[in-house]
Amino acid sequence: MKLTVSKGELATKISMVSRVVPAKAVKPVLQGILFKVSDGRLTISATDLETGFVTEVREFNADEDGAFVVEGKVVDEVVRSMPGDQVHIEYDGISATFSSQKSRFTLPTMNPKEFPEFSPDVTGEEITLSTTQVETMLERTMFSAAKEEIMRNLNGVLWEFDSDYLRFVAADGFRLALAETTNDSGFLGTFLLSLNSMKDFLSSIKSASSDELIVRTDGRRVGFTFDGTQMVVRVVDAEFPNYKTVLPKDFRTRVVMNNDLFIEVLKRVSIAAKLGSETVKLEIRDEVMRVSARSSDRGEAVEEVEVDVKDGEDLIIGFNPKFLLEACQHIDTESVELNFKDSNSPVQINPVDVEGYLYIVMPVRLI
Amino acid sequence: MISELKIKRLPEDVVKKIAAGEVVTGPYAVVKELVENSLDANATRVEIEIVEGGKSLIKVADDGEGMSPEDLLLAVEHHCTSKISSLEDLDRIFTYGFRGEALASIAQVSRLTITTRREEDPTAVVLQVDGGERSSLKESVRQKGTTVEVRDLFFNIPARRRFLKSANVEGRMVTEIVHKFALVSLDQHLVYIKDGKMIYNLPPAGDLKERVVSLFPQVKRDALAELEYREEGIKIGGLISLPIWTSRARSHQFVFVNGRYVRNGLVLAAAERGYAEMLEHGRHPFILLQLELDPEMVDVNVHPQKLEVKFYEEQKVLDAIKRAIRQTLRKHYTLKLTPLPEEAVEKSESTFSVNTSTTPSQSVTVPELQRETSPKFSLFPRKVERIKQLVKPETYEVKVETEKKPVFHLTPFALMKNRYVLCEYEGGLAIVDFHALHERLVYEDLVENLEERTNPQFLVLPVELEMDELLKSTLEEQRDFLESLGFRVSEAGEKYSLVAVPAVLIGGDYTGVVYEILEELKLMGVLEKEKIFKNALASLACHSAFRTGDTPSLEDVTQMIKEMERKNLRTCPHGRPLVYYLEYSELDRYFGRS
Ligand SMILES: Nc1ncnc2c1ncn2[C@@H]1O[C@H](COP(=O)(O)OP(=O)(O)OP(=O)(O)O)[C@@H](O)[C@H]1O
Ligand SMILES: [Mg+2]
Repeated sequence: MKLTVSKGELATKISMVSRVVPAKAVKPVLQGILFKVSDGRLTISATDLETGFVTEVREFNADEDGAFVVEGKVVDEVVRSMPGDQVHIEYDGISATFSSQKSRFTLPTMNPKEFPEFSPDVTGEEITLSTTQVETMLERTMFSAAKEEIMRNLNGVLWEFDSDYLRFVAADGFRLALAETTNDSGFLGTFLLSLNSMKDFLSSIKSASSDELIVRTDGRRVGFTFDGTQMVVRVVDAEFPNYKTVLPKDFRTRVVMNNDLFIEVLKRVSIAAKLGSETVKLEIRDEVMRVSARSSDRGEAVEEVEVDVKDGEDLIIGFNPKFLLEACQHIDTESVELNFKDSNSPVQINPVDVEGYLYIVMPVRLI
Repeated sequence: MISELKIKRLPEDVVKKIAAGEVVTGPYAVVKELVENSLDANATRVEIEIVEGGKSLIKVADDGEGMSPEDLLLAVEHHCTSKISSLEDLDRIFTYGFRGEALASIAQVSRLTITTRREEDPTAVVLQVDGGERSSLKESVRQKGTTVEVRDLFFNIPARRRFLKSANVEGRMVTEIVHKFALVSLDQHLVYIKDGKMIYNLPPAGDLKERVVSLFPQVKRDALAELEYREEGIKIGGLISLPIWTSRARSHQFVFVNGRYVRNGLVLAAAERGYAEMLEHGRHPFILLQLELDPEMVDVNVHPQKLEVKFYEEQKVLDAIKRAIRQTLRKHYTLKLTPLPEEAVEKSESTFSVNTSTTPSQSVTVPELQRETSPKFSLFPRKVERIKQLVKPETYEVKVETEKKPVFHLTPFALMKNRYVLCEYEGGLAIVDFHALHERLVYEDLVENLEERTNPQFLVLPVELEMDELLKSTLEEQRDFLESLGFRVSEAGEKYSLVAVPAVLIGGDYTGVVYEILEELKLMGVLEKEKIFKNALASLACHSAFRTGDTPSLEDVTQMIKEMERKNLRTCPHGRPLVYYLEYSELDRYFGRS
């Protein structure tokens, strides 16, 4: 079989699918990428059995149908390093030769029949979403997910479709991020997808050239179709905690201030606190918020910020500055709104005059 | 009708052959003897109750065969038993008991009441013995079976009574015994009541997993894999956890040989070797091994007191265990994990260090094992249980050279396997365990800045703690201690939830560490408080998020080694050494240079 493919497109598609190629696998074929020509389509696929990709390469010519598997990491490097605009591939049943201009690479192949059938055709009704919308919502929430894989029920992003909204929720125990948009699909359901798969997904949709994202789920897996690519992700078999019970309701103190200013102050003050167990103290009195930190090895820092709005009671409360910072850095509006109940209850951080996302951060006890 | 006596006094020659160890060392030993008797009497339901750690009351009630009034009188006499009658019987023991000693010994040191009734008898009888003083038999009512009540253990031996641990500690030791019975007696309905509170109500279990999960809720069912292995003369069954479930303590490891609980470090070490590199250093999986061995493979060397058993082909048994575990894990991970190359597994053997509280010896010693195929054996070596050993989860206690090495100045030059740092020093080559050093530095920081590092950080989503009874009672008793470390736990009904964790754990695995610290706290009353506190801090250090990346740079390492030298640190928080010195003189000797 002989193939001619546009190098640019091939390189992009290979690097997309090879993200899931495991570094080590029991069966060598799992470290491979499947190239397949049939029905006038060229597809390349990879899977680690948890997550799988099938993507279509649009610009190609082939003399006949056929399929082969080559090692993923190798072909990724080979194709990226090729000099010309076009890559010629020749498969003789044993090896595949990739050539471009004067360079030639001959790679051993593996039996395509052994390549696992991870069946990307997830059944279930189609839900159509906007790629950019999903991308924004993921960016607003993913950073709050637990990084430790051992905390399976928090090491991911919850997708929740209810009768009104589609919500993404991520939490690591100390904080929670929530982003929502209206759910026009009519689909109702919830699934938790691992942080790793969401990272792969996010970087893949970033390069998508159309805004249409089709989602299907059969309860165990979720299939995403976008821009000629199908990605299949296994649903995490662990229960995301009931986050609704912790969303604070009745606030007693509300503060609105310039977000950039608050970020700068937090950054400066946290220099005085030490990594990891650092604490900043927020003292809200009248129209002023006093931000301070103290540590045994770095001394003390204090800064006062004039707030634009202050409603309700005065308050003194402590936080890990990293959590406040990361939340504020994801706020897109000029002003940020902080809503408190008391010094033992979480703060809700949200943009001003914009709906659709919010952050919850738990306090620390003040020493 | 004259009822025939079942219980007989053993002839002198048999008595002489029987180990005359101390039977009653504390409440847990009494519980053990009584439950064994109930099982020997073919009970289908055994109810165990203790009050104040068993110090004021131990009560075991069963629905077994019961005794005739005449037998009851003999049952509390020394060397009277229904289970064996001649020397030859000693080689064919099918029951837990055979010495005819347990009830007599208990009767000597407590206020004992036995109520019993056989199916055919119209009424029940009660016998009371106070410190060896027998009262006359009285009539009573009860269903078929036997109830034994032991009050005020050691009331007549004040020195022994004082020697008993606190009610909490003694109670936990009893709970541990109950666990072990629960793991072998799947067919019986077991009930365990402690200070009026129903701790376990375990109906006959369909399978072992069910039992394990009801006893140890923190061990997840999905994390358990069944062992099924057979080779010539050896059968291995039981359950092990996949490497996703491990703990720092070895308190979830059990070995039963032909149905009988044994404490055996070598067997557990072999089992852990089956995991090869799937286990993180210092982490221990759940292991429940049921070994069934051909009688020819075990040396039932009826030692008068030691009750030891030796595997004839020890290496063969240990290898079989390792293989059994490896096979089971392979089956589960064929697709997701790299296989364990034989080579790597063999290699890791030489470096695998396991410590157990038993001293390693040439032969594996297990309590006396009887030659019988339907196994039913004594759960415990009758003599060796010392209190500390029983409650103490086996932890690392590596002896570190105490003789003061002069402090050398180390110059790091390379990193091996991201684990060892090679350094030159004036006397030769030094190898530093990087992760151990890192943990120690985090620990030092934690100690120096304790208040800041243990400041409670509240959780948005409280985490429900799933604990077995031992951990629950430890939590109840040691709440203040946990709070002093920065944890906050809330309670709703029978449920406990973690609501805040020490700041040092932000970004780390904060639930795992609670269990670990609770395991540590179980030793309260057995170890000194300072030591426990130190161990708890070591656990915090180990789980903190101050972890470095997987590949530290040489500069980082150099900084850390400087710090180590400045503070003159020699061991990791768990007591393992930090540096191995290979002196030039040793190298010279090896290469034949003088
Ligand atoms: N729960 C019980 N139900 C019926 N019979 C019992 C019960 N407990 C004890 N017996 C009878 O009392 C006898 C003496 O019990 P004891 O525990 O003192 O000795 P043993 O079980 O024979 O031997 P060992 O000292 O090794 O335990 C037993 O042999 C048995 O016949
Ligand atoms: Mg007995």
